[in-house]
This record gives sequence, C-alpha cells and structure tokens, in this order.
Amino acid sequence: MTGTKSNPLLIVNNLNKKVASPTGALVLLADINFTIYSSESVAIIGPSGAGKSTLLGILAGLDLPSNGEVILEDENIFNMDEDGRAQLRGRMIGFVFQSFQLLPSLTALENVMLPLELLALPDQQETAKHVLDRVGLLDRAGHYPRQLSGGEQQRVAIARAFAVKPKILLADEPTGNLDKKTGEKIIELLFSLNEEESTTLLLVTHDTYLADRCQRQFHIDGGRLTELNHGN
Amino acid sequence: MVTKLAISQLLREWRSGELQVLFLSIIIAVAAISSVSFFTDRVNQALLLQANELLGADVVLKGDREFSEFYHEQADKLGLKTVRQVTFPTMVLANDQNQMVWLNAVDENFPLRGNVGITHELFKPEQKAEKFLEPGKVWVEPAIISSLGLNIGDTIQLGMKEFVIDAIITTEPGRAGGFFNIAPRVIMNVNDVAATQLIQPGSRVRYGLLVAGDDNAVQTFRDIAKEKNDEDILVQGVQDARPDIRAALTRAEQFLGLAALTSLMLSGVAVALSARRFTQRHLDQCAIMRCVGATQSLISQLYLFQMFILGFVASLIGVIAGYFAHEVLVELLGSIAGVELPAAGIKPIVFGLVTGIAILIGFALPPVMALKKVPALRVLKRDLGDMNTSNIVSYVYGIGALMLIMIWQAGDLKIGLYMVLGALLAIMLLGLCGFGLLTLIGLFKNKFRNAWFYGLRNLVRRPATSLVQIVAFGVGIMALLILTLIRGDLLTQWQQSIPYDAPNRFVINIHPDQVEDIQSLFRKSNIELPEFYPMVRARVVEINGQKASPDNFEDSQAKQMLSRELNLSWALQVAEKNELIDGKWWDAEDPNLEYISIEESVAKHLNLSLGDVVRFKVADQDFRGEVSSIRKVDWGSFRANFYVLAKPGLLEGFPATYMSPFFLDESQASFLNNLVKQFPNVTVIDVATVLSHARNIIRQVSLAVEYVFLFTLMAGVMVLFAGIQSTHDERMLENAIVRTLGGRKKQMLQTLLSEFLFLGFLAGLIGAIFATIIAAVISHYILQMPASFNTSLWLYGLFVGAAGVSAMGMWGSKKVLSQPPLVTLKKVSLTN
Repeated sequence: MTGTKSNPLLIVNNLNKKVASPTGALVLLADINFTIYSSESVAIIGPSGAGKSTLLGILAGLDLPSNGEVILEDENIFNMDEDGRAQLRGRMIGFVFQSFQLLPSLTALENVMLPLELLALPDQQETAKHVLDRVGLLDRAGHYPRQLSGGEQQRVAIARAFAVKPKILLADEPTGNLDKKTGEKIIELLFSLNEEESTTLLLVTHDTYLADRCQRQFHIDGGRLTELNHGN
Repeated sequence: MVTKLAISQLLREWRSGELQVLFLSIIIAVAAISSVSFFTDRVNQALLLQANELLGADVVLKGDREFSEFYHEQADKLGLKTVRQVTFPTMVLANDQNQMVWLNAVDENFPLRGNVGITHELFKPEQKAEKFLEPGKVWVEPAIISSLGLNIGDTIQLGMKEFVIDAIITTEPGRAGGFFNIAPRVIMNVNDVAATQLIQPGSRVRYGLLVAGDDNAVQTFRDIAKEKNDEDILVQGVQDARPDIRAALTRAEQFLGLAALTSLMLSGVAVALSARRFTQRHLDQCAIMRCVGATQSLISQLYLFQMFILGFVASLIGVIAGYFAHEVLVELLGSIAGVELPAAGIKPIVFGLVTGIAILIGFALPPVMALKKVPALRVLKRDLGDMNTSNIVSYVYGIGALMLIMIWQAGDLKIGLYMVLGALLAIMLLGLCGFGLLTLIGLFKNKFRNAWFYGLRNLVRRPATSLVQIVAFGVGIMALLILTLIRGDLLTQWQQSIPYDAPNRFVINIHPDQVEDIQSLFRKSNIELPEFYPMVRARVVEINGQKASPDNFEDSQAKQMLSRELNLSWALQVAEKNELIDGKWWDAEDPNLEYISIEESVAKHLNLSLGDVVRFKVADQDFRGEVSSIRKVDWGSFRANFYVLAKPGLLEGFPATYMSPFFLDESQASFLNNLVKQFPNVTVIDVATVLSHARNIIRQVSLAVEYVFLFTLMAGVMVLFAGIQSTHDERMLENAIVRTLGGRKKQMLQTLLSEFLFLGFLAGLIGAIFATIIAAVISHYILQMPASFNTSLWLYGLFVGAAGVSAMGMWGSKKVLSQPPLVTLKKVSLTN
C-alpha cells in the first residue's frame, strides 16, 4: 500500500540548513530531497543530533532553511510570510510532540478546541468532544493537563492534532516520553486515526517498532537523508 | 568560597535579565520613601535648629491687651532683654492706591534672636540691619514696593501718619511662614503707633512681649508667667514655636508618607512576585547542587548573601535617586517652613537603606530560603520540591517588615499601625472587588470565542496573578483620581457655590461713629449699600462657673478658641445662610437679655450644650449669656458669620467696631482709595486674594502629593512587569503552541493586547469606584460639601488604566511575540 503515486502532497527540494557556530558553519541538513504522497505513513529515524527535529520543524514552516524549498500541495511554503505559513499549518498540518505541549491553563477540551477556535470553525465544542471521545477521554474533558497521566496527555495532543482534519500529521517522537505499553496504545491510536481520516503521517522516531509500522522509512545521519527499502 | 560563588552567580543572573524587576522595585520603593524622608528631615531640622530665630526670642507672651508692668519688672529683675510688640492688619496708602498689610510695631531691641535682613533695592542680596528704625521710618516687604509702585525713600500713609520707606525686608525673625500670612509686612517703631491713631477700642490688635536671655532666667520667667495664669495671655516657648507650621507639616508629612507607603507596598508585591519566579527558576539548580554535595546551609548562605548584595546596592541607588527627587519637594513645599533649609542629615540615608533591605528580606527571603529544602531526588522526579511556600506566607513577613518601617517613620506605634491597617483594608477591599469582577467574567468565559476575548479568558485562567495586578494598578489609579477630584473638582465646586455677586471685600475696624459716614460714601459712589454688623471682641473666661483655661482642653481648636478673643455680634433674626440645629431663637418680647446663640463647632470643641452659661470678658468688663440655640453656619458663603451671636441689648455699652461685607466691581476700585483715605483706621480684606492664596496652597500640596504618587505608579508598573515575568514562560509556550497550531501573529497580538486592555480597564474601573467613594466621603465629612458624580473622571480612569497598562504590557511582552516558536519548543523539550 503505497498511496496514490500520482498525487504528491509534500515535495522537498535541495533543502539545506546551516547555523553559525564558534568553530565555523555547522551543517544541520545537507541537500535533502524527497516526496511524500497523500495518505502515506512515513518514518524518519536516526540517532540523536542527526537533524530529525530540525527537518520536522522546517517541513512545518516553524523554522527557515538556509536554502531549498518545501512544496505542500503545490505551494512553496517559504514563498509565504510567517502568518501565511501559520494559516497553512492551521489548515493542513497537525502536530504531535514528544513532550505533549498542552497548554497547562486549559482543560483537555479547551486544548482540543484551541485550533478550531483559531480557524474560527463552526461547532467547535461538538467537534472537540467528538475527537476526545474518539481517543477515549471524553470523561476527562474538564481535566487540566496536570491531572492527566502522560499517556492521557498524549491522547489529548493527538485529539487536538486530528480535530482540524489535517492533510498531514507531523509527529516528533510521539512515544518518547511514554512507557512501552502506553506507547504501543498511542501508536495504535495514531495509525487507526490515520486510516480513518486518510491523513498522511510523517513521524520522527527512535522506536523501530513504530518505524516498522510505516509504509516508508528514511534514515538521517549527519544531516543527510536516505530512504531505506521496506524491510531493511 | 561562598562569597565568590554567590557573586559570580548573581552576575550571571543579572546578565540573564531576570533580576531587573526585583532590583528596580527596590530602587523605586527606597527612592519614594527617602525623598519624603529627606524633605521632612530637613524641614524638621530647620524648625529645631532655628526655633529661636523663628520666634525672634526665647519666649514670647501674646495677648489681646497691653502687658501690665508686672511682666516688664519680672524680666528686668531676671536680667532678661525684652521687646514690646504690637501687631495688627491695616491699610497702607500710597500713590493713590491702597493695600492691606500686616503691621509689626516693635522697639529698638528687636530682634532678640536672629537678624532682620534688609536690602535697599528689590531682589538684591540681603544685608543685616545694623541699626533699628528711627521714628517716622518703616521697613516694608517687597510685595508692597511692587504693588504700589514705590521706591526707597518714598512716603506711605498708615492711619493718620506718613512714613518714609527706609529699606525692604528680606528676613524677619518671628514672621509666620508664607503658608498662613497673606498680607505683606511692615515693620515700624512701636513709639510711632500712637500717632497713627489706628488703635481704637475694639480693634483687632495683638500685643506681644518678646523675652530672651540666660536659659535659667528664661525658664524662671516662663514659670512666673504660667503661675500668674492670666487668662488672656499665651506663653510660647521655643519648643512650641510655630504650632501652625508644625501642624501643617505634620499633615503634609502624613500625606506624603502615605503616598510613599503605597509605593513601598506595591514594590513589596513586585519583589514578592519576582522572588517567587527567582525561586522557581532555581529549583533544578538547587536539586543538582544538592545532588553534588551542597549542604542546606551552603545553599541558604549562598542565596542570603546574594539577596543582601542585591538589596544593598539597589537601596543605595534608591537613596541617591531619593535625594535628587526630594529637591522637587523642596521646590514645591519648602516655602512652608519660611526659612532656609539646612543640609540633609544621616537619618534619611540609614532609613532608606534599612527600608530597601527590609522589604527584600520581608518579601523575598521566605520563598528564596525555601530553596534549601529542594530534595536532591528532584533531578530524577521533576515534580518533587515544587514551590510550596504560599504567597500568603511571604506577604505576612513582608507586611510585618512594612509595619516596622512605618512605625519607625511615624515615630508612633498607633499611627504606624493605623496607616498600615488602613492601607491593608483598602487593598483588601480593592482585592475583593477585583475578585468579584474576575469571578463574574469567569462565569461567561466560555461565551468568549473571538480573539479579542481570549485575553479576558487568560485573565480568568491566571486569577491570582491577575488579581494582584488589578489591585496594584487600581491603587495607583485610585490615588491619582482622588487627588484630581479633590484638587480640581471640589475646589471648582466650592468656588461655584459662591455666587457672582457674593461679597468680595470685607471692611473691618469701622468705628461706630464712622458707620453713617461710610454708608453715605457707599451711596455717593453708587455701590449697593451693604449690611453693617456690630462686632465686639470678647474672650470666653468661664463655662458654667468653671474657669475656662486652654490648659483644661486637649482639643487644639478649643485651646485656640480660649486663647484669643472671639468676634461676637448681635442679631434680632437668624442670619442668612445660618440654620438653627438646636434650641430656639430668642423672643424679642422676653425681658431677659442674657442669651447667646453659638456656632456648632464652638459647641463641639468647647463641649457646650443648650442651657450652659458662658462668661465673656471684654477688656476689664464682663458679661454672661446662656446658650439658647446652636447654629450651623455656611462658612463658604462669604457672608459675615459669627461664632457667637448675642441677644440685642446684651452687648450694649461694650466697645464695638463694625464690619461690612460688600461686592465691589473691579471698575470701582477707586472707591477703596476714597474709603481708606477718609477713614485710615479701617481695614479692607480682599477675599479674592484669600481665595487665590488658598488655591495656591492646595495646588502646591496636591502637586507634591501627586509627585510622590508618581512613585506609586512606577511601583505599579513594576508589579505589572513582575506579573508578566512570572507568567513569561507560560506565555512563551502558549504562543509557540498556538503558532504551531496555525495561530497568526495578529491573533496573538490581539489576545495579548486584549488581556492587558481588560486588565487596565478593570483596574481603572475599580480605581474609579473607590476614588469616587473616598472623594465623596472626604467632601461630605471633611469639606462638608455635597458630593458630585464626575463622569469624565471615570472615563479618565478607564482610559488611563487601559491605555497605560496595555502599552506597558505589550512592551514587556515583546519577546513573547518575537521569539520563533521552534526555539521555545526546543527549550521546553530540553527542560522536560
């Protein structure tokens, strides 16, 4: 199952990222090229400091590359200004982080409603409740993040990511802060939602079990990206 | 080792920019308190050091009659020097113009202490008057020279005699300060007084006997004078010199002290908030230090030392800033003392330093010291050892420190406690009101879906921080609004209550046989004939058969009433603008004449009620009257009002003068010249001058208080910054997540702006509510005027609050908006 090859969602061309350091320019990403098609699930694996999170941040338009382009649904996101990219993110990209990144002063329900509010979508509360129900946390809707376990917080984060029905979901080590059993549950949830909503899934992970569940795998090291053949 | 480590850590902290709010808050608190302290210290020193000069003698006897030979003999016997003095207001005529002046006629021994400073040309340096005035010459103050267009050597007329101006007065020992004496002064040789014929029976004249010499002899003289206990003689020593100025200064000090205290309290809150953040940011560091072997005592020493250095340096800068700031107070209020102020002493410096360190210790030390209790295990379990020192606890220590500071400054336990408790009560009420508003908003928070209302929701999400900020700003705005109300509004109200044609001049000291002639002068000049009121000056000497001595009363007003003559008049009917509040008006048919009607403040201060019998003394005669009614008098009406009215007939035979209030259009000014020329003994008081003098005093004092409240406002800004700082990390994270989820910069900007707008709006609202209530209380109970509702004041409060807070808030949150979201998220991931 490789998705519809004729329908590329994300195209990355000649992407480079360098930063200045006391010892000269430090290369974080070197000449990265790849294409991801709709509804695919893709894993990027690699050791710490390889540039995984930097790549994910640039793909989401949270950071700028030194050069190169990222084309999301036929639009080069770096031709837009910061607000344009923010709107694009709101419309098309969902995010799941290793450290959940829920707002501590909002309840679970309010956290899920936040992206809906930012886009001024209708029926915010109903939609948020529906997604919370889907991740099995409707009964915890009024709880604050500090009152939830790590697994529950990540489920709220996943609900928040799926609430706006994104075209692509970017996940940065989604199981990194969870124990094995909880991690597996989260993975199940991610993939089943991915299937139900036909969302493209791009995740960065150390977890080989998680990577194996994906249709395609890339390996990154020293800022260079290579695609692995399935089964490698 | 501890010192080196503490200093290097402190410098690192400083570079991170996290200590600035803590540091600035202490500077502001210390600058506020020490500016007031420098000012009052210098004025008090002036009053203490120059008391004899202020008095012009070592002891002064004052009375309404000439002193009997007894006093002169006693002084001679004790080898003391004396000066005879006669003072009274009168009119001076020159160049066809007239002016009311205060005449000070003294003999050649004047002054016994200090020197008379004179000059022979306006605004030239003063020189000591080496020789006393020859008969026929006078010294005058600059105002007389400039307003009447005179020069040295010109002639002026006082009563029936002409005088040559010998010099211009620049310093006059014993002159009351610029605060109370409006009329410019003339010094004359006492031997010339008789020739002026200005003193008539019933004239408003004060006699003085200035005495100076050896300390023991002066004390003996005082004792003799006290023992003689003449009821109409007031003995004033160096220690009780200038009670008027002392009272005014004490009030000014209290006002300024209260304003400074408010800044101190707000700074305390800012310090507490900053210290809390300091502590939270150091939890991990402490856990790691504990992990690698630091003992609890090492950690305590480290932070104690850091706090001390921080407090000391900030306080030192605060004291220096306070010194420069107090110069403005001297500029605004220095003239009250009427003397050159000596250099500042050491006390305000010590006071400032102790204050700064005390608020830091009071508000910051409890949370910072809690750091030593952070368990080493926190390195593994991050939720261990989270801040559990509640804000309440740190405020209790801080409030304790504040109380001690106030008690020290007030020099009085009771006043210090009252001030702190009063301020706390006000803050608590403001807090309650703020809490109510936040709760109300909380009920509707889910209804707010627009980005403009996210700010409102954010306020409710952080109720404790929001409340502290609302209260801090509310207090600052309230203080400024109250001052605006009292200064502007009430003064305008008062002036508006005086009708256009209300009397603007009072003519006093009219001899009974001049009344008809003066009335015909009025008619000839086409000026509406005013009422003429008889006036007898009498002293209360007995109440219900008991001697009424100033010493028997605690009340300072009562002491004043008993130590000088009161103006008495008589009337057949209740006077206009007078209202009977008790008893009944006299019946003309009743043959008994011995009735008096008294004004309510006289009844209150002298504890008089209906049926009490009061004995009065007029020169050597006396009479009695029974209190048959008590009146309320509208003093703001500028009519002729009297403390005591007698039934017609009771005062017959006593020396009386007449007074008449009248309205004079500015175009008829020449009438005054004719009046004074024909009747040199009469005195014309210009009400407009009195009013403008009162206005100036109010303006000066309120400017000074407003000036000190600027510190309060600055302290309020610090609380806002401390509040922003304390939620800074949370805001950064919130911004990063919202941006990641697709929030636009404009939305973030709207949310932040609306949060600060609502914060300022709520503070402005609460400030305006309390300012209106307090100002209404002041106008009703103190100024005794109807309170008015001022809409523009509310708008002003709301605008100042919303605009000020949002401008500062946005400035303080620049980094929240400018830092790229990925940077924030990475930082958070690193710390998690």
